Amino acid sequence: MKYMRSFLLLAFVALGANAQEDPLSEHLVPPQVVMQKAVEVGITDEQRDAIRDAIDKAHEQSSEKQMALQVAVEALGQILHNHKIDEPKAIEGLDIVVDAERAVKQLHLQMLIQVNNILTATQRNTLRQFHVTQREQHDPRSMEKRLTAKVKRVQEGVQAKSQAGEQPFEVVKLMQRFPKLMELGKHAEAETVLDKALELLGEEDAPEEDAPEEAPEPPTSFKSTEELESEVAALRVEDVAWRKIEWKTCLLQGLKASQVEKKPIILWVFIDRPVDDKRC
Amino acid sequence: MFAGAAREAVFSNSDVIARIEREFIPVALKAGMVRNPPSGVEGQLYQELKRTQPVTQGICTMNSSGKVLAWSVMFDGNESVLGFLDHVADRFEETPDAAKPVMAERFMRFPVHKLDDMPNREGELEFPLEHECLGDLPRPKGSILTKVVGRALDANGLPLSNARVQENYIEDRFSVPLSFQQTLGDAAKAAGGDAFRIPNAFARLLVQNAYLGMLDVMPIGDALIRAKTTKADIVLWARRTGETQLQIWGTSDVSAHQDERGNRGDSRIWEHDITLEWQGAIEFNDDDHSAISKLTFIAVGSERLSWNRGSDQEDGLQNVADLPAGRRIDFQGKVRYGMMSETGEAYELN
Repeated sequence: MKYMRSFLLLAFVALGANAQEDPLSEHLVPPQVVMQKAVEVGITDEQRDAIRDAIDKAHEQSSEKQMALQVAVEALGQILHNHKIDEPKAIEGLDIVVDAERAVKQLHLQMLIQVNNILTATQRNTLRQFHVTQREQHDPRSMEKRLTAKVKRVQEGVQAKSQAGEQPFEVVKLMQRFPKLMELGKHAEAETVLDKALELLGEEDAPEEDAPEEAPEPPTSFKSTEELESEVAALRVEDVAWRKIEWKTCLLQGLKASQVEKKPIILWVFIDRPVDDKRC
Repeated sequence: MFAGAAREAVFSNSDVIARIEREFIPVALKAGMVRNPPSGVEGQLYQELKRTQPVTQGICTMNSSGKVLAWSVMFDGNESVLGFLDHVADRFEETPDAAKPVMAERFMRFPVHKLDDMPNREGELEFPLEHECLGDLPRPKGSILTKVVGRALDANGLPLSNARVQENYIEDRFSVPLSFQQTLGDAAKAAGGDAFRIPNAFARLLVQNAYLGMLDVMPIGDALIRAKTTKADIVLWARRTGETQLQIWGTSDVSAHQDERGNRGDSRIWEHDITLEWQGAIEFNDDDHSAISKLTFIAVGSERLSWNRGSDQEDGLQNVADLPAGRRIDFQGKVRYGMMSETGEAYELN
């Protein structure tokens, strides 16, 4: 039983290590919650305009501050990338990053305060309660409670099997992955491990979403594959402005063309690939 | 948001298009490759971009030796975009190759907001004649490439004409992994001639790709874009209509908004609701249903998308002075999506 106690202890430690919370967030109602419940709490047009102004004002300044932060992080990265790291320069670089982070956070907090100050006391109380309830439903702490309950059920299941003279080695082996997954923040995968363990113990949960027993009525007339293909093709617009530039996707091919055609290269560096037919 | 905004505001401008086609070699690169440069000569070029870039995304220009001439993240106005191209053309004339040192200029917003230049990179790189291109789009072996087209419709059910903006018109592509195809095939075999609910992962993959707007407002993509999916009711059913064919029908109803973790202090607020009715056909390679050979879908319904950030231009176009934030969007109306599989194109990864 010692090994079983060990993995269960590890599982609980893993859970504890991930129990984090933001102690301040419950005090301020975020603007999206205000907008979501605007009708219910009777937000007036004047309040709505004032909230939008506060958000707009913050937004106007946020791009520059975000950029400044990115520039500072990049600069620090450059310093740290060198073989011999210049310590005073790196510390100075860190100060700039921290200052930039503080500016971003300060701006965000200012906006939240301004939005909350626009609300009446009753509105703020109602919205705060709603916000706290909403957070609890989606909060990592709820996840923690759920996982804790499942770990407990695994523990009980293992004990029951052991008392019945069975050795659930497969469950123990499976559960060895749990602490590592929690440590890596892979909570969904960790929960899958628990579900699988419960399944092996014969205690799996009922599926969250039961498929309807009867298929919904199919359309009265099904389109043929050819009709579907023709409808899909008809949706496509050939002459889109952004398709006119023929972007190469190979830097070396671009350089070769640059040398042959004696033209500079223009590079569009982006997160995804918006050339041709990709969303961006 | 940067890529979508840049495509709409900069690279859809007819004057800019004409200049680029006439005077430049256009190359599109993924920021991820710049952030994590691969090895080899091409990697050294990416390293050079990383060394000089002001932020992770932007517009850069190089000479024929791979030396950075100038970066810009934003522009003071439409004329400044053309001014940037003029400026770069002049610099290229002075330093077309590595014969003379080149300082890499960096602008947050051209021409007013300039950062410090980065010094010349010493030495010249030798470019290989033959190479495996790192920019190709790979996809896993056996996966099937599927293209998506989405349109916003007017009150009469006709597609809106301004295809330049992504809340009116999207094109996209995604891969259906072999394992998804096999799971669907197994479900079809198990059902025999009866109707069956298609596996969740498969259904979710289809629904995940049917939305208007930019990547930032993907309704089911929590891990990717930090959206908060509040509803994902997806019920798609299938029945066999021949040895290798399936008919698909059903509904999807999804809602999402920004995750609190996802606003990254930039005050973004967005909401996205999409309700669709689906109809489609899938054909397997053989009666063993081991792989899909063809997939076609049409989905119709309604959509609501609001995005609060960015410029508020009356003409509905992006502002080149605020590319990272994009443009406000407030769309609500009927929509229509089409999906159709293709073969070939991207090379396959084993």
